[in-house]
Amino acid sequence: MIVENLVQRIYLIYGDDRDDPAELFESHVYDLLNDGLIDLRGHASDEWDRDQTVVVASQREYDFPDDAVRLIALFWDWWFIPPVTMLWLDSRDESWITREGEIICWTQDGLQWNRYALYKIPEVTSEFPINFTIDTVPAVADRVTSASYGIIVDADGDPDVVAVVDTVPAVGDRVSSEDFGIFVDGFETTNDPSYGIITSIDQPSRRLMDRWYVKRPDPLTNSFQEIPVPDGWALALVWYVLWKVYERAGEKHNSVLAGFYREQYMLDRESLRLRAERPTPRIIHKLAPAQGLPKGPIPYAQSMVDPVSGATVRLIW
Amino acid sequence: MSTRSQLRSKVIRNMDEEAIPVRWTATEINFYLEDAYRTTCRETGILSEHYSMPVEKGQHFLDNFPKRILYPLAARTIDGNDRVILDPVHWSTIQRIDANFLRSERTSPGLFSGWGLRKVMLDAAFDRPVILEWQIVVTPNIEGEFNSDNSIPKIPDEFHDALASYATGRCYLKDADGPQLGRALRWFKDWKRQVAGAVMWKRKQHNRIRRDMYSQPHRTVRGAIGGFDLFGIGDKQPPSVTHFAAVPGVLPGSAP
Repeated sequence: MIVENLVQRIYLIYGDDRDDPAELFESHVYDLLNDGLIDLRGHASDEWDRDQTVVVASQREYDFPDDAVRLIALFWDWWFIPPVTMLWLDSRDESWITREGEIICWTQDGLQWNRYALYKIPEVTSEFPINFTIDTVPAVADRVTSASYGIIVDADGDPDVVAVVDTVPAVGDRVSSEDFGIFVDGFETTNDPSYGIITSIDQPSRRLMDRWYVKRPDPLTNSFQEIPVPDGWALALVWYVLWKVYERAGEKHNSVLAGFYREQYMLDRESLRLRAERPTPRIIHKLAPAQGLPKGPIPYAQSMVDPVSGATVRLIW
Repeated sequence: MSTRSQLRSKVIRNMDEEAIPVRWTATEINFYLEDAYRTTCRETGILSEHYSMPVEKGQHFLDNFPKRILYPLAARTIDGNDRVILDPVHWSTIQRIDANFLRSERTSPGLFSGWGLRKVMLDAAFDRPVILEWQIVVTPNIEGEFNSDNSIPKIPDEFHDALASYATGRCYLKDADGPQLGRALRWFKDWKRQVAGAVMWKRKQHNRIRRDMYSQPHRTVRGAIGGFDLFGIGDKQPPSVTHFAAVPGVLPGSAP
């Protein structure tokens, strides 16, 4: 659905003249649509995204990604690290605020809404994967293995002869990505079709923080824009706008209708939230605990079972 | 079987209006019928379709589903004679089974989960390119399939009347000479009653799809991942029949 579909419906139901409105101006409709979109996404968390970032030595707190409404999960060096509460940290380590070491969990307790803190504080700054700069001057067909970043010496270029002679890439090594490409510990490939020589290598520190988050919707600005919520729930924005316009003071103020549309909006919002929380058929969730698997699901990263009290704790939202 | 124009006539009859009503245009009623179709499918999950998708080696996140997707129902590979079956779980289940799953690659990943509402995540990436065959639940393609007066909604005939009920309710909400909220609510109630019937129909249909894809309507999570020995129990401690028997619908032949 596009924005135009919604605006048409709003004017049809409200009964104002779109070209010469008495009360409901189009700019106001767009403002309300954007308000509704933020509210819907904030509560329902229907669209997720992920990015990778680095950690900085001795830095405990980090910002969310720019386009994040909130975090869902963090993975440090590919390993899942759980969200915890301040209570849990206090019970585990009195000096958790200053403790340095390997990162094992994170918290949002006591922080601004768009920040999170790591426990323990990283000792070393991590960096993005190695970036090779390749001299593309054609050379003898040496090949690079994809299993690790060694160099295969194979003068005739036959790929089935494997002989790793150099497990650390160095300036001057020859590379070819014709068949294998360069794989740096599973992170990055270089797909230069021509043979070449490595001319420089960045610092080889490759531990990254993988962040999953709920994505902030792009604002609606023109009528041909796609609505960034699933088709089935796009009408929720119409209900939101009508709720707000009937609620405001004016000739058409109608608290009964405002209440009706508010109810419709809330029902749709809740329905979207439930769907986003458990997007797969529910029978599986019912069966899993019965078969000895962990009880699940954890709907949000902000929920956890407190190991001290055994209670489910909901963190900041 | 009702076409869009027949449904529109039904809406007009419901409101006891002239053949060409004064307060509502045909375009407007068409809008409401589209909304009825979309909302009914959303509420019931009655519309499902087949979808094939190429998956690259090492690809954990699949995001090229149709925009109309509500949720994936079942998945398997089309990979020569060896069919790999994938079962739906919540993403946190995958993470609990293997906290390092993002690094895993396997010949036969066993699980998938919804990731947000438009993406799907695998518990391990495939170690080779494959074609995945999906059965997905969707909302209707209004622009492509319900865009003319001769279009017919792709839901069973007995539920077409629900669309007319919903659209009638929406017509009564129009604020031209003052909306008639009481009448609108009466028609929405009628729509909800019919939707409840559609949900029952959908359950049977989804069970049938699961049975066709998985050979059993309610596939078990442990059955899906047992082959990978993720718990380290292997053949030493296979799940017992009596254990599964406690869960209705798990054993073939037991009532769901």
